[in-house]
Amino acid sequence: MPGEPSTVPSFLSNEALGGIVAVPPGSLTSGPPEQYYQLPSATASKISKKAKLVQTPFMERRINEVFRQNAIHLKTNEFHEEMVTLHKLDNATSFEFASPNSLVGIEVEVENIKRIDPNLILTWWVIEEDASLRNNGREFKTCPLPLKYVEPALTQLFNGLNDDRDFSNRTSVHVHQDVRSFSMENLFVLILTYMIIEPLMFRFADSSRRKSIYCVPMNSANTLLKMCKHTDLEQSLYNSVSSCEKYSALNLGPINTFGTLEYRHMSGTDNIPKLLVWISLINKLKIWAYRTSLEDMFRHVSTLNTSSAYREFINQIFGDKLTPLLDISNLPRDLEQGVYNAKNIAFVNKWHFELLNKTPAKDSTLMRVQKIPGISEATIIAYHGLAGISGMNITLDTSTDEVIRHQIVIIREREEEYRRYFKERFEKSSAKKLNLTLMYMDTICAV
Amino acid sequence: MYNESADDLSRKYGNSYVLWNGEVQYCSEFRYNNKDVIVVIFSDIEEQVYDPRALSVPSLEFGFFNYSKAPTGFPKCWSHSRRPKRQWHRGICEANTHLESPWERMLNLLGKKNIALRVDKVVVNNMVTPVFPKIAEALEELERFKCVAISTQYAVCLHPQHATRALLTTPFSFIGEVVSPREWIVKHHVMLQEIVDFSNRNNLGIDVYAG
Repeated sequence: MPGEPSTVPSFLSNEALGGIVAVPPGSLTSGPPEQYYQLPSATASKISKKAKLVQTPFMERRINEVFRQNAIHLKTNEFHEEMVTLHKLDNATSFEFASPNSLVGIEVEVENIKRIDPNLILTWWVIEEDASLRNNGREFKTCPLPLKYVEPALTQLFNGLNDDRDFSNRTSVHVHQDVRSFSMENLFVLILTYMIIEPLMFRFADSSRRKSIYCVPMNSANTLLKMCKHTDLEQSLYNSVSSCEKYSALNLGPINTFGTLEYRHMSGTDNIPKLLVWISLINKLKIWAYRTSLEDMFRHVSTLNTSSAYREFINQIFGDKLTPLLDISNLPRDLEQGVYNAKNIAFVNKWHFELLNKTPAKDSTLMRVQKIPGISEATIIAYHGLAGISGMNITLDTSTDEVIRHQIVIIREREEEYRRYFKERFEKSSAKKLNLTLMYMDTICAV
Repeated sequence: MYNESADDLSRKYGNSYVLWNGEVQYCSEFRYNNKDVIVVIFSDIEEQVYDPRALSVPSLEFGFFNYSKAPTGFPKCWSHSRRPKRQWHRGICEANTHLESPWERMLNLLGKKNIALRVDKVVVNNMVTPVFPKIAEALEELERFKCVAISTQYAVCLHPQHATRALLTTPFSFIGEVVSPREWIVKHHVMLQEIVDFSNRNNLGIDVYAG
């Protein structure tokens, strides 16, 4: 069946990992280490268990402590330098990144492939078939690559393919960004920032990708709703990463396995300058997330509402060099929805949860429409309270009054059975719930 | 250049709602006619010769819409969002559309089961061209429909704690109370500015208070 298969990026494949090689956290900003650290998986597991015992606040914990990731095999700087020299790619090292040692993994899909330079697989690239591509399509994936070697790698790839290669609308370029040394706080800052600037990112990469089913904007996806289902931010964040669907434009899923964020916006292209700027934008976003505290981010989110503030915000993230490359001609229109979503997600709405935990007032507008002739209001309130607290889901929303009346009759008839059930259920776990359920039972059965 | 076959097109757009010449239609499948030309089979209109320019997919942004065929007692306000899951449909269908009503949050209070709205032509039309009543009208409709959207971002809903006020909600959570069409109390303070902007942008003249 055609479609985008769930393939593992080459740089994280089992062969590449070898199962025993790990890179210490923190290598992200300092570049790849000179030596590998031998860390058998059994030891890694013990360390992980110990790490859990340390009472570090959740938002300060690193991603690689919270999520279980595979070890990554890194090639040394010497290897990269040697490849650049060997393949005469010295000229292709002019683009400057803000943090040249940050790691990325790049996946390039191309169709109409007739010639592939065999040297590609000896350097940075792995070649795979992709069922979603047609016309002799291939997917080329890099190993984990420091940003300073992205330009030579892309140059080598496109020089090594036939000139009439095709970048149809089925093709795309995905960038995996290493975030293993992020704290959960950094991650949340990045997600909120991304949410706000997402339209700008799409406009730079390819606006038509907004409609793609393989690159669904975060601001249109149901991921947003999942992010605010809990009273605690940590649980929401953990769940949104764990349950993120693969085809989100910003795919959080790989954090759970590889320690990377996947940006799927860019359509297929061999325009190297555009790709370099794109990766640079992503890199700037990461640096911003590192440097900005959650408090500062909350402040930004809650005060962003004027054109000038939007512009300053974009400038702070991307800097003077990259901001002019973005289409910021209508920032209010582009950013408003993202700010609205970010405000709803960033701040836990305690009032909302308190409201939904209170028994409805008998004279409330809600309960007025629930009135049933022949049954007292107190009984109906108690009935709803009982059903709510026990999670019994007694009736359908569209059920008639007769159904509710019938249920109340059943509860009255089988009073002892219900009381015994609630006692067994709540006696040990929650005395408060037990008292409430028994109180509701008293009201319902007081005929 | 690779030309898509009828099978390819069926996989993308078959059994889903698309825009055909700007109108929402349920596309059943694509097939070849006796002249070996691709035709599109719709459920409500006659088969049409496939023209890529006539076919498009509605571009939907996350937000509220009102379900125009809601029966009495059924919530009118629903939010739609996209599901970024693995599936083939480009058109709108159950597999790639998530529908949720703020009213569902109340069901636990009332001890009732979840409710669901299925994707059909009326729903898709309502999503593509949402219609919102004035605030006063929405408040009047509340007893009948429990929850009514007043814009893609805000809706009003029956209140579980107050005899006269309605709840103000976003697709994410309840954020405040509507005392009257011109008097709102915002309880989730971070949304205060958004509500003021909403009022100003639509010339509603609402007095917004932080509760």
